[in-house]
Amino acid sequence: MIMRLLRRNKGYSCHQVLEVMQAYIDGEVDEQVALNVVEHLEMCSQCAHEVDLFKRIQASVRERADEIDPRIIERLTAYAQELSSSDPYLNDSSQN
Amino acid sequence: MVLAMAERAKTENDFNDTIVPLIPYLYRVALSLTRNGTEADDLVQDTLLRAFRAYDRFDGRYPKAWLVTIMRNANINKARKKSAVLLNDPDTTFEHSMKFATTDTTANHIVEPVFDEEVAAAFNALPEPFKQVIELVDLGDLSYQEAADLLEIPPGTVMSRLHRGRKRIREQLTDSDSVRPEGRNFLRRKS
Repeated sequence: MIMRLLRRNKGYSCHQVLEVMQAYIDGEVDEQVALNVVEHLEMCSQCAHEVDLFKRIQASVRERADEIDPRIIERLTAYAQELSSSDPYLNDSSQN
Repeated sequence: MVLAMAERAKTENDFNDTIVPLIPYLYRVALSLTRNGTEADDLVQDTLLRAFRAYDRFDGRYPKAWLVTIMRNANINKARKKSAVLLNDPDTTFEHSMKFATTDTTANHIVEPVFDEEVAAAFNALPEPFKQVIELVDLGDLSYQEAADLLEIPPGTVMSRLHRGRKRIREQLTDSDSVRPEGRNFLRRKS
């Protein structure tokens, strides 16, 4: 509903940009909404700062994701490789 | 016979090439779903087994979405089996093996604040439903619709939780020195 209304409006206000800012950052808005946001960001340093800040927050959260213990991934990778070299229909014990 | 062996080898190679590189991704999604390192491990193994068994029916497109669908079904099955136990067991609460779960939020504020540490502290302070959607979208790289399907909630709820969660993180930063002065109170003023 909000997206439909915003799609029709050109020349977004700061409030309108805030309404769609998260979806815009996630690439969840259509091309017209994205263009309207970009147009606003070129003129409004405060909104541009907010978008930049939310992107930094997102990047920071993602960076933490890389801290998964590599041994867990190694073990799961070994499991997958072992799985793929066995008969998937006979190796039921691997489920336990 | 030779043909069957060749087919078999092809499946094995395809599986290793396509699915194995996605294991870190799968583990993150599983961790977001289960909130528990051991259960996430089990869920990924279950997903891999199901994926391998179904691999000959996989059309090769959108492997992440395909795997997440398998994981979702595997998780539903696991949840059904464990629901009776979980309801009565006080020890099955949140156990997160990612490092932000063990971040010392108090210590973060003693020394000069660092942006990443503040984000981690603010993230840790979020209610579980907010954390879960942020992890699925930001770490798992899922679309709003995919996260909604996985959690069995409407996409609007995913969007709402995600936005509220991020705004809470941002507000924590607003209260610190991590953002430029001109950015302070911007969200509060305009929302």
